[in-house]
Parts: sequence; structure tokens; C-alpha cells
Amino acid sequence: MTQPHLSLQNVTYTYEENGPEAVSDFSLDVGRGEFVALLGHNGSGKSTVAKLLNGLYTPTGGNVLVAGMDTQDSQYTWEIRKRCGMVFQNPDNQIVATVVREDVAFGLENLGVPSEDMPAIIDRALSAVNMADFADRAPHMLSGGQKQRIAIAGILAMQPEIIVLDEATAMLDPSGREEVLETALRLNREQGITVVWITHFMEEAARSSRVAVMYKGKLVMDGTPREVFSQVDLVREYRLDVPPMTRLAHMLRERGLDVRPDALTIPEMRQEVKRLAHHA
Amino acid sequence: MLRDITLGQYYPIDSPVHRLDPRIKILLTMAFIVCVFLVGSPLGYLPIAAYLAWATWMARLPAKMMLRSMRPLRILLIFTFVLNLFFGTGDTELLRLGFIRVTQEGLYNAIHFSLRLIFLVIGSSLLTLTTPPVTLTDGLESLVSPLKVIKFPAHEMAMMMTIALRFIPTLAEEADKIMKAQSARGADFTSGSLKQRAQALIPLLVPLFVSAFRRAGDLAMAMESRCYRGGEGRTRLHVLKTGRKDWLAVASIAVLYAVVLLMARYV
Amino acid sequence: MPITLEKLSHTYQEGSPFQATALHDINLTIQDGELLALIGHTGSGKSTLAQHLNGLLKPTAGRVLLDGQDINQKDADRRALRFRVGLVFQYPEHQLFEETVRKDIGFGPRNMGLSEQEVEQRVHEAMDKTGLVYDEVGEKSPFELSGGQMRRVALAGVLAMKPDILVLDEPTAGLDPRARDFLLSDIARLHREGTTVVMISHSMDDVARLATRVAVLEKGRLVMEGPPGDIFTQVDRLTAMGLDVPQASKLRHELEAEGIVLPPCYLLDDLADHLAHRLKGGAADAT
Repeated sequence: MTQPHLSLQNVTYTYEENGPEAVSDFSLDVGRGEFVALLGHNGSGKSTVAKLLNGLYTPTGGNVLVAGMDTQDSQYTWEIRKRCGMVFQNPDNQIVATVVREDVAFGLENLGVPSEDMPAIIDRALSAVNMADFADRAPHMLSGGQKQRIAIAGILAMQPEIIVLDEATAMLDPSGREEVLETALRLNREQGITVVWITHFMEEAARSSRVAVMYKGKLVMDGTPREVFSQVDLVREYRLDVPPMTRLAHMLRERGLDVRPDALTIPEMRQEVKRLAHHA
Repeated sequence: MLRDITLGQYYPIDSPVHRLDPRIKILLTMAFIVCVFLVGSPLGYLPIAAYLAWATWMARLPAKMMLRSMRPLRILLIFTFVLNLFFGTGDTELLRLGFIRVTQEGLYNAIHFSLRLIFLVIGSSLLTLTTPPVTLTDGLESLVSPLKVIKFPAHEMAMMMTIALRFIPTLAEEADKIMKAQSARGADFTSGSLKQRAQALIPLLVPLFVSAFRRAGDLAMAMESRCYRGGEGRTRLHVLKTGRKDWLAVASIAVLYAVVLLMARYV
Repeated sequence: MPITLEKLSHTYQEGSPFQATALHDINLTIQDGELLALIGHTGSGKSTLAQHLNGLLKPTAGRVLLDGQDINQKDADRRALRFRVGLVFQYPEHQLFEETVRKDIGFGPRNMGLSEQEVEQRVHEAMDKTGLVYDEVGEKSPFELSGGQMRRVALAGVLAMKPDILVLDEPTAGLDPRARDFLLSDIARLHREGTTVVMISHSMDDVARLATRVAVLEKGRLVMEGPPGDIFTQVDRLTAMGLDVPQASKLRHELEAEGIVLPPCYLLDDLADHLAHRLKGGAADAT
């Protein structure tokens, strides 16, 4: 088997010495090019995991490897952060500059990229998130979804292999959420970037290729969205919910209909209903 | 949102003056200020006025903008004028109203100092009207960077100013929102004694500070994850370049100096 | 006591070059005991409208009437109005400031000039209504609580003023599914117990669950208004405005296009019933 792109090995993390474990004995391997949704109730430790992934936090116990590099080894710190970019929840609190173009340049400036190479890289990064027309605008005048895409562009400019989005859609309206999710899905599909998508919107998780569920600092479920969400009662026990169509499938089964329990999307449910209508 | 606050006074058009290297512009402004102080008599302000008129024209700024920049200082200006006019020394009395007397020297000084103030303000406004604050910050950083040898934190200072500029509109919006939210719970920010009003600010200031600290924490985290590690080894998107137009600007101020000094001597 | 918006318009910074019309000629009455949901795209004017309901913003044209009285009249008591129309802002936990939860919830009642005893009584009641246990969190700092709990403290802070009308701007934004469910059932209960509620929301499934009436704003104009059954069946029109529709409406709409026609519905439970009835019972007319 090839080396996992991200590897958390029996990771434990406490914020204070001898304090409660925010993350406990957490193990997860993410392969190159995967799109993993990490779910969990508020305070389940999923944000802590995000910050462990690029060395913002180093584990109290266990190891975190990014492309084979241990985050505890300080010689790799900058290389890890360059390869594994992060987008945070609040769009306002991660934009540094007063002009979009300059904000995208921030990471490049930190890496010491020659000035004359920057404009081309910036233009490419902004085009990749469909924000090329906004290069000279002031970030605080943009919508939440646009700001988050600027944040993604800032990371893309550094040519990362992995992007971790820590509840990047939590503060956005439905169209902003769709813009950002669509962007992440496309970068994963077209550029092969590994994505860790942290969220508490089940509909978003349904569109990933793999879902991992955290509960009280532990990894409690891991599988395809179908495998995870078809276990409606278990998911609810972990203080989460299932996508609306899975809920509907569950209700129909309770009413004695033989629909598949793992329907996730409206088209799937439509197919199921058509199938049953034909058989009836 | 009133005028975009991050632009400060900046008047966003393109002109040769807008395009000058900010470092040169800062130095020229300083030189100009010194020059204004070299003027010895009201008549000596003629070349200064001519120079400013020319610079304003080159910067394609409407004269109205320049006059507007005087507005916040009008009280100070009146004060300067009146003080010099009525409390001047000298013997040549022009007018006497009870204990107030106006002397020739007083009138002379009132005009002299008022003009000096006017030209100082207009001269420095020319800098802020043609240079966005962020560019000014870049220019300042570059100018003070030689001081790094004596451990002066030039980069940190500039980064702080940039972040402050970035967050002023965000925090202003936030303050407005908190104020409304507390008003919705019956908070009264506008009436009562001074002490009551100061106390009424607590429900505004506490959440604002909490939020500012949270934002600062978030931002530090975001900057770190984007490989920020101080000014060492950092490159910049915009490299400040000094070109022919900058040297022409320097030459123009040299001419101004020559004229002002000659006039001070012979006129 | 109904609130009536009469030809209400609001223009930001009127007369300046930055003038922008946020609301245009809105006519809307909020009836006693209803739960009115305001929906619309970001920037459609929902929050601006909400701030007119308790006089935080004044209309640039038109009037806001509470019990037939213009709330912006010169002699109107605007502070008393704030206590009658309770407004809960987006992310209201960002306005918490007191040392203890108890004191923070008491801020509104204290501003009303109530006695300490009455304030205390109101704090107790408000905490009960929002599922906060006085003995557990009353003396805690609000900043120690979880996000969901902080949200409830902020809501309790407004409820403690015993408003007749409760206006909520995006009450569930940023909460996890469990906290969202709790908060929504709190709101439903308050409504059942007689509070008039105006709720701004982006989540159509939340709106479908709670609202007795829906008003749709687009670019500052009121473009649709009626019971949820009437609004959420117009799937094409809502989609054209860039708005979501409840998942049940969407599926029902798509099935209709496939020739499977079900009775109008917008809740998953109702849809499940209709589907069960259709697929198990009278299946002869399928296809």
C-alpha cells in the first residue's frame, strides 16, 4: 500500500496539562486525492484535529504525519504548512491585506517567492476560484462566500497538496456555502488536491467520498456517506443528523415501504420512488 | 458604510503624482514642510502657493478637495489668526477697542502664521490624498528599515499598521451591531450624566474587546498557517521603484527651495 | 397587537453619493400569534426590515404602526417599544458582556426599571423557557459556556423583557444539528404559548417546520407572501430567485415532472405519508 497522505496515529491532545482530552486516541489515514468529510457535534474535537493537521498544534500523544513528515519535527514545520493549507470558519478573520491581490500574495511573500513571479501565480490562483475579476477589490466589501474563496486562493497560490477547511461554510448563506463547497470539490477532482472538509451540514458531507464521525474526541464512524448515514439511529446518538433524503428513506421504511435505506440525494430518491411506483 | 474607511483621505484616480514612489513622496513632503518654515514674509509664500497649485494640478485633484482638507483645522486657523492679531506686540497701533489693540506687527504675524498653517496642511494633504494608507505604510517601512540595525522593529510596525487598516472597517461594523443589539435590550447610550454614560459603554466595550481578541487569535492562527514568520526572508508583491519621474519631483522641490531662499534674501 | 408596515421604504445615506435603497414600498401586517418567516437572498433587506420593527431604524418613507400608533412619532416612547418588540440579532452571543449569566439575562429587565426581585423572577422564567438550569449556569460566566448555551443565554436576555413580539435574525446560524433542534423547539414552544414571532432564516427546512406564514423579499421588495403551503409549492419561482426550497417540496416537484403527482406538501413527514399512501394503496394510476 502506498503511504497515506495524512496519517493520524493514536493521537491525543489536551489543551492544558492534565486537562480533559479534546482528542483521544484518534487514528485516521487519508489517502492522496481523497475528499473526507469530518463530522461531529460542537466540542467533539474536530477543530482540534484540523489544527493538528498542519502543525498549528502538536499532539500530546501519538503522531501526525503529513506526506510522511512528522509535525513534531520542527524542521518540517514550514514545509508541512506549505503543503497543507487551512481555511478557517470566520472569513473576516483570515484575510490580512486590504486588497484581494495583496492578500493572495501574503503566503508567497512569506515563502520568499521572487516578486516578479508573483503576479502570474496570483492570477492563476484567483482564476481557479473564479475570483479573477475581484483582484483589485477590498475584501471587506465582498460576500462571505467570496471571502472564503479568496482565502482558498491564498492557499492555492502556495501550491498545496492538501487543503483542510475547518467549518468554512458555517457562517455563510446557502449560495455562499454552495460556492465554497463546489470550489473544493472541483479542486479535488481537477487538481487531485486532498481535501479534509469539516462541517456540521449533513448535506455537504453527503457529497464527499468518505465520512468520518467524531464524538467526544474519538473517531466513532468511518466509511462512505452511504455506509455512515444509513445508520440513522447511530448517527443521531452521536448528536448529529442524517441528510433529509436519508431521513425520508428511514420514514418510508418505517411505513413499510421497501426503499433503499442509504439514499442520499433527491435524484436517488426520485429513482427509488419511480421504481416502487412501477412495481406497485 | 460611509466612504471606504481603509482609503482614509485617498482620492482614487491616476496621475503622475499618484504614481510617485511613496518613499520619495514622504521625503518630499518633509522637505516641503521645512521649506514653508524658511519663508520669512507673507510675500514669500507666493512661490509656495504657486508650487502647491502646480502639484495639485499635476495630481489632477479638484481644488475643492484641497480646500476641504482645511475644514477640520478651521478652528485652529481662526484661533491662530485672532491670537496674533489682537495680542501682537509692536507700537504701530492700527486700531483700538477698549483693551484690545491691533498693531501693524500683529496684523503681519496673523497673516504670516495663518498662511504657514494653511500651506502646511495643504502640503501634507497632497500626500494623503494621492497615496493609499497601505502604500504609505510600505513607504514608511522601507524608509525606516535602515534602523533595523539598532533593533527598530520596522517590519512589525508596518505589519501592525496594515492589519489595523484591514480591521478598522470590520470592527466599526461590529461596534455598530453590538450597539444596536444592546439598544434592543433597552441600553441607553445617549442620555444621563457623564458617569452614567461611561457606564453605559460597558455593554458595548466588553463584547467589542472579546471580539477583537477572538479575531486577533484567529488571525494569528491563519497567518501562522500561511507560513508567516516575521520579516526575515520575506519578499514583497509590490517592489518600490524609484524612476525618472521621482527625480523630476526632487528637482522641482530643489527649484522651490532656490526661489524661496533667494526671496528671503533679496525681497 | 399587530404591527403594520405601511408603504415602508428605507434608503441608506439618503442624499449622499453612496445612497442605496434597502427597502422599497413594503406593505405587511404581522398578526397576533402568528409565526412569520422572512426569507430572501443575502442583501434582500430582511435584516433592515427587522430593525424597523422595534424602531432601531426609521423609515425614510412610510410608517410602522403598532396598535395603530406610529412608533416613530415625536412623542413616542421608543425605549418602551424595544421592550415590547424583542429583537434577537444574528450571532447574539457576541453581545454578552456581564460577569454572570444571571446578570446578563437581567440586563434588559434592569433597563426597564424593575425591582431586583422582579428582575430575578424574570431571569428565572427566561432561563426556564430556554432550557437553561439556573442552579447550573446562573452564576457562571457566559464566556465559559458552549456555543449553543451562549446562544440560549442571549435569547433568554431578550425573553426576560417579556416582549409581545419576538424578532429573530437567523437564530440557528452556526449551530450544530442538536443545538439547532433544541433552539427550534424552544421557538416553537414560545409561539405555541402565545408569543408572536418573526423569524429571518436561510434554512427553508427550518421555516417549513415552524412558520405559519412566509414573506419573501427580493432586492428590497416584498414579492411573495402567504401560508407556507402556497409559497413552497412555487418551486420554480423560488429557485429563479436563487432561494432554496424545503427538500420535501423539491422532491415532490421533481416527481411531478416524472408524472407522479402527490398532494401539495412541504414537510418530510407529510411527504412520507403521501408516498406511503400512493405506493402501497392506489398504485393503479402510477406511470
